[in-house]
Amino acid sequence: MRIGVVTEEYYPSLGGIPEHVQNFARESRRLGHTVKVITSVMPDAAKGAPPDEAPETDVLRVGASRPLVHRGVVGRVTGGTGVGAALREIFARERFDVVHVHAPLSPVLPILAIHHATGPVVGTFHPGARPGLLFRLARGALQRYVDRLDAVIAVSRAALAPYGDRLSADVRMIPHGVDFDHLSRGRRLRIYDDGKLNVLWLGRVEARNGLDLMVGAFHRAWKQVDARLIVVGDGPGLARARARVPREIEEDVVFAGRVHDERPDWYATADVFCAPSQAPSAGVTLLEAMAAGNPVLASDVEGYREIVQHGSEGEILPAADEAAWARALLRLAREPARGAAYGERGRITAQRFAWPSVAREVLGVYRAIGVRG
Amino acid sequence: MPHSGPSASRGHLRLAVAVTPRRVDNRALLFLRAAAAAIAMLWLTAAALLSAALALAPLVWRRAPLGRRVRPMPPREARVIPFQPRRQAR
Repeated sequence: MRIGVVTEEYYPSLGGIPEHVQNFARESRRLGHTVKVITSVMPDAAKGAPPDEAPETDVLRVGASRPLVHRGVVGRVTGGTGVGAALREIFARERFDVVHVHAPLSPVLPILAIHHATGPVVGTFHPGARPGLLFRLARGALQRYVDRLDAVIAVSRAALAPYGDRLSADVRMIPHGVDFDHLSRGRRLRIYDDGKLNVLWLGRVEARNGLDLMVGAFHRAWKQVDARLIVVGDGPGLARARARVPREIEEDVVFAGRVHDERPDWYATADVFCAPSQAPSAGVTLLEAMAAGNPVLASDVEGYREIVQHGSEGEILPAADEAAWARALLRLAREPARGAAYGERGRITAQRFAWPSVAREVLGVYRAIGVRG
Repeated sequence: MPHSGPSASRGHLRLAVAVTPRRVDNRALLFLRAAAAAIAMLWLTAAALLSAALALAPLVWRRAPLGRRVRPMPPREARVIPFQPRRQAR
């Protein structure tokens, strides 16, 4: 099967969608399919990224994209003239059996890909910002683009929540996968193996991911237990987040910055993983932490509830209740056996989301719409 | 010992490097940096929206996708939406 995956977000930009696309492509290639990723050049994201060791022959870059903030969420859009023509030319040259578009209603590449594709098209919805005025104005046109999709996938109910009943489609739920083998091979960083409770927060530093709440809860717990907060990730809110760390805990808050391949070691260093998201999320980092055997604390939002069962792999906590998060951290610090049991059950749960089975489900969708190969 | 120096390779896994203890930055400097980042982001967003509008402009003339579904969609069933009984003024 020749598969063209179109995505606005891809490496060197980090996040759930690039991770999803890269793992799906790798798994499908392993099964003998040809996968090409169609994305854009990202000059700003490339600056802080480590040099890419793998050749990019299977990545086709069309135009250049810029970051933008929409309702507190950082996204990307490809711009300039000639993007549509370039996509048309790629589709004509590559003759894909199926074009798979991620975040199909977000401008620019996804919409243009649906517009110009002549064969079967599959779209996967991911959680994102709530649509605004532009969406309401263009709803009719966007429904035509949804109707054009031969199959619609959502990675969780959180991906559909922003649209409510304003768009109609038959949606199949296929969750994010997790690279189980990769994530379970991390090694604990010895410098942080000093008896302190290592609390890990990992994600893009933006308001919806709840770093402010995390710092507040950690501060409360820190007064009673010897603990360290490790913040992994970057984003436009990083300088603000660093500035807001209370002085008395400054020494015990570590900002590791942008991390990609080394994530397993950071998960292995953690004694507890926290995901205090304030908005629906697909829970990629939750799955990763569970694969690494971490007990998890997750906020009570759409998406997380589909992955974590309260009291099994970890605890589901009110999204805005700092005190509840602090109490949960103290519980895990004082009862290590509870954390170990959460971690073990999490590892078992995460195995269900391993990429080989998730990729097969997606390939099954292609076959269900008549794609052969 | 913490890992240091260039990141070593372990299969496809790159070893994490411990963060060097950071010096405590000046708060005012951090807030200034945060404000600069916010302004830069605003500027980038405006530029991104403008160039995205340029890229999507051709769709104004041709609004529907050019291709068709492999299997045409069955026409949507008409739904009967019952009228709500009028409220009586009290």
